[in-house]
Amino acid sequence: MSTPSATSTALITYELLERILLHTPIHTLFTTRRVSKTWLSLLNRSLPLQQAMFLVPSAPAISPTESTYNDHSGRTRTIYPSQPLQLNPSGDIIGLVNQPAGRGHRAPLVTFGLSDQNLFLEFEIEGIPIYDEKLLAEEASWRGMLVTQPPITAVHFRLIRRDPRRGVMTIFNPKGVTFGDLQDMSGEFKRGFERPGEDKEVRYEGLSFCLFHPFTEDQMEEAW
Amino acid sequence: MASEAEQTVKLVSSDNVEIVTERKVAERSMLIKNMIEDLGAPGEEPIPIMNVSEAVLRKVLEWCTHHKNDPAPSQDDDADSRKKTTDIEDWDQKFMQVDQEMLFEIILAANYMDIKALLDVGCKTVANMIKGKSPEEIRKTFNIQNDFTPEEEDQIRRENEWAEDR
Repeated sequence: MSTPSATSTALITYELLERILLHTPIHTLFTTRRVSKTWLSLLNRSLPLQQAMFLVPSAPAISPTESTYNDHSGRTRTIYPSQPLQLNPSGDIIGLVNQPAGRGHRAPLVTFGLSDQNLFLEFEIEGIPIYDEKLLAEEASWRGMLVTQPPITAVHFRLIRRDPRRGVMTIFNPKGVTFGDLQDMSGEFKRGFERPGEDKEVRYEGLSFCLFHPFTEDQMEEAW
Repeated sequence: MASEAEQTVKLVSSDNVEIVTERKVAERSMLIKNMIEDLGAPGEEPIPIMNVSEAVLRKVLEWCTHHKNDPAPSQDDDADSRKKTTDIEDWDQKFMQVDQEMLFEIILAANYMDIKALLDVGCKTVANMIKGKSPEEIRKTFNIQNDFTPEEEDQIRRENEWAEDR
């Protein structure tokens, strides 16, 4: 029998494989689950990797100190205590950022935006993508991903329609709001607004929710 | 007695080759640094580096020589290295242009000899090889056996398909 290669020795050493994978982008962490049982088991069990995948909180979930709905700007703001938040970069993995719904086959599920003046973060759901079935698979692992690290416990949704009716809804998850929560609640929210006989094609312009957070400039750059 | 800067140490590789190097260079390795402190009299007693062959040890010492004046690693380094940056400085990048076996030999040696910064450069280099590859390509590159049943693999693919093709 030949001696095992350095390649295989290193790659079956959990600590080394973990170190390597911690330097790869988030979507790679999900796709490389399929490499082998060793890789899958490490990716499912390592705390640092689970945190890097936004599946396990990196710190206790934080709750808003105050929530307001501003009718004039039409924005819902949830105020969180001053604390750096890391956005889940999969917002632009799941869909193309700033790509309007209906163009291309991957409509954005969540897009992130920052206003330079007000230092708030805006997440937008430009219509739920139904163009690509593999994105919406029931078992899709993105559903379990936290929206931010550390997790946030509440998010406001705002429904914008072409007719004047508007609505606001709050998602609350004490363990931290996930992409799955957003998707489920937005579907429920949409259904709540449906009227029999209405044209379903054009009624919804989008769902959006905002987080207010006093970011520093560095954090803003990092968020981008 | 020689000043600390001029001191040399003798290292012995796994294939029994003696290599004399500057103490400062060798002490990039926490394993060697601790051994020297325990031995007390550097330079006299050869230090066995049991798991590392001559070729790999020379390569590791080449890295240590280039980086001998780097600031000592601090406690924060571990947290920093977790950042998803795969930036590698030019010299290190060139240094890592070796065949794949040597790359992993260096990683194993850096791990054994406790040279955190070198271990990081090695891991980042491998991470760059993994980025953008499909699971099939990763298996092929690193000669990894696919030990899933077709059903198991299919299930995992369905769960994670959204992240593929990027």
